[in-house]
Amino acid sequence: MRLYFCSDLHASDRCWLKFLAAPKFYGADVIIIGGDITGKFIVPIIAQPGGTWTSQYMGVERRLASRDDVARLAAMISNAGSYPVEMSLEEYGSYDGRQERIDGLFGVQVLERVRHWVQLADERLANVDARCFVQGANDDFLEVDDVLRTSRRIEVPEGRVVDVDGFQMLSVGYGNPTPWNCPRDISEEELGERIERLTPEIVDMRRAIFNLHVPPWGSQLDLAPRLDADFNVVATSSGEPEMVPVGSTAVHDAIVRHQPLLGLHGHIHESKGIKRLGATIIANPGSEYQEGLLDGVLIDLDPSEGVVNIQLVTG
Amino acid sequence: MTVPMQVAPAGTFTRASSGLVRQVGTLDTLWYCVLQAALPYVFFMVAFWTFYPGASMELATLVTIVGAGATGLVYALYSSVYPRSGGEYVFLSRTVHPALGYASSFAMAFWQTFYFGINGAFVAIYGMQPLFAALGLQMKSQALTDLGAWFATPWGIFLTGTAVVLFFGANLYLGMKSYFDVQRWAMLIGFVSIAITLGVLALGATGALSFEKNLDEVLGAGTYQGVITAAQADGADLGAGFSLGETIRFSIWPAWSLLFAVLSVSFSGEIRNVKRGQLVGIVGGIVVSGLLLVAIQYFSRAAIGDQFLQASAYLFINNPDQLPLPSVWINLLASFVANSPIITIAVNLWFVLLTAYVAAVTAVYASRAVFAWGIDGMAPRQAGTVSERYHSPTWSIVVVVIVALVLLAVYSFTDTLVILSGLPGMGLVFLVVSLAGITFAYRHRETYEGSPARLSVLGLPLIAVAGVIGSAFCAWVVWGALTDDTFGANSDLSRLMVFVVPIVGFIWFYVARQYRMSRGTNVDLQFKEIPVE
Repeated sequence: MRLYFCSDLHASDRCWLKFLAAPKFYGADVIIIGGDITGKFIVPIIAQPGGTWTSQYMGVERRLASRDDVARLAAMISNAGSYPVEMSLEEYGSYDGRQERIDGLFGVQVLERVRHWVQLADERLANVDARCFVQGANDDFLEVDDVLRTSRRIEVPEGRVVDVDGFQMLSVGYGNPTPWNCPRDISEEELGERIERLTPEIVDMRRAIFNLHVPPWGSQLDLAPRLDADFNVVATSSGEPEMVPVGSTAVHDAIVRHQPLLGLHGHIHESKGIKRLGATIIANPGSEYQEGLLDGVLIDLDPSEGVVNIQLVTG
Repeated sequence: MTVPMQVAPAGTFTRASSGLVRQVGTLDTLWYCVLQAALPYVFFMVAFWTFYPGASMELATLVTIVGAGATGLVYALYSSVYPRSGGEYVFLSRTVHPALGYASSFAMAFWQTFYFGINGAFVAIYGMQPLFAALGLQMKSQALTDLGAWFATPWGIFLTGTAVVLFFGANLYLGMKSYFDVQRWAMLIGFVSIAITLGVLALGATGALSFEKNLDEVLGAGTYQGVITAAQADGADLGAGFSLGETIRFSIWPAWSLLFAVLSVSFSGEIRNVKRGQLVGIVGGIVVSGLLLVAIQYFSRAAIGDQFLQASAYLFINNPDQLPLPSVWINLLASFVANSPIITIAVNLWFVLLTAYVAAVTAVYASRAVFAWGIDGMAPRQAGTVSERYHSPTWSIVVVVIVALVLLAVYSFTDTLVILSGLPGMGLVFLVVSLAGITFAYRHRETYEGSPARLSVLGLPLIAVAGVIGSAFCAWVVWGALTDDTFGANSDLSRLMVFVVPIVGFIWFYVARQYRMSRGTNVDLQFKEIPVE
């Protein structure tokens, strides 16, 4: 069985289309997204008097003279994982300092994008002989799972153990606390309980896949810049970011305790790699969604041999 | 808790979600870039200036600020498009070809490893030797003088270099925290020492202190003038008028310091604002470092005198028996401006500490590159493993330490490798990145259009314009370093290795690819982009 795993697409249309093409491109029998499928940014495209628009995107002020220009920029923004929203100058001003109003706009945009993705998945995977698993993770609103479940082709593995071609996959997209208090941040204790609640269903840990969004603490797959109380990156004495482990101790303990065949993780975009934690092979494909690049892990599994081959790919 | 709006790029809305952080501060990035520039290499500039009759050190450095700044712009703009660690490996693999990306990374890592050991040697030759020589002369201590001389012997060079390599190898093995703890103090002391050096030279320039008087006091009346007379009698041209050609030729020396500020890429996160951060950091770092070099050059000339600087360096290379000093490095000469053992130590500290720091920086770069190859499957998997105890890349550090020690031994005991050996090799990588920058906006239009690098000048993409200037400059640096053998700074072997090293990188790439293919891994998939339909 060939399994393709990626994570943290963060609403990138381009990455989603690539993900749907993964069964054909990589010859994968199973494709999995480990969570964080929704975006973090809305980019207003503001209508100006005289039939033009302006937008500040990626730190560059952009002036748009025609509808075609607007469509082109909107596609670019969507491909990079943000939500383009056309609005008047007055409407733009009405969001100033009103985070609740902005959150409401996010709610609409996020679910609209996921609905569109579900539609694309149902169309493009209709005649593809591959299973597709997508779960939410700490950055995704809980409602996202409900939209995903409307799909005919997408399976949502969150909080379950599913059988996958002779293997069993345990999935938890929730994460340990972050400084941002994300939708699915929970305590380490609760995260540990959610994992342990599922482990009795695993028949043989030598054929178990732990699909846990947050990587194990101290695994080198969890290095991120240290932040101060104001979200500033703390620099070292030479000016570069100080990298610290931010993974989950609950995930670490669960893997060390149960030693599954494979641990699949995401969450920390800049910490891609394949490592070992005891007998378990753990992987974080990283994420380059803003560049429209789909970082993934390609794994060949055999029920008797376990992991036959594993490699990082950038699609 | 909601995310404060100020973490969002201007004009965008954000929500509570992970990873939304401010960039590393612009000042932090600028500081990093200043540290990457090898400021102590000013000892080469002031000493070798005499071999470029009519050259202006200061103007050459300003020219270098422009040329290296252009290459710095290309790196900064590329890193805003691909904000990932890996530098040129990532840029070139994504935008040209993975083999070119790997060969460039291989060449850069090789030469950085070379300079890990060689900078250890530089600590002995250009740090310890002048320090103890000056102290020996000022304190009239033969033991200190002999100790200074020992640091310039092959064994002195090799053992000091070995100590530096092993110290930083162990330091890196103990984890980056240990490394940064050491570095913090070294930097603090180093930059206080630079300030003292500039102050001493400035006092010498104003006449408050007299280099000539102090030198004559220590070495005997008439020494200062005697050096000038001896050099002129030996054929030195000490009165050449300004020459633009020689100034341009000389620019390879400041380039050797300033180009390395570009290595500070890959700090960008998801919130990217090219107008600050890397752009200001890299270009600002090159400007600040360059101006520091200009200040040291100017005050050195003003405090010591053009003729003496040129004459002493001429004799040091051509007729050392006529020179009453053991060397002519600026830290030794600056020690006589104040002529106080305490000030001598203060003036020499930064040459020792920052040269050692350059060694450490090269080790960090090279070990990170080897570690990345291990993860990408371009080196044995062990290279990508880390110490369970210290979370440091054990095997990659071991590889870098061993290679550095071998190259250090070759440098110390033979004449096959010389100080400029690595410059053209690394300049070639800077050249390739600059060339790639010229075409990036046209070959990858969609990526460019959607990136923060979409800045234009005179209607042309800024990255292309910077690429043209940077390419011209880097091409000159490579050519200049390859052909500039007026004082034996280069050798036949080093010329050969400039091309052999990247070729080995290409071969390595394809051999590793074949090996992994034979083990069932389809390496072609590693960087092959999934077509979007």
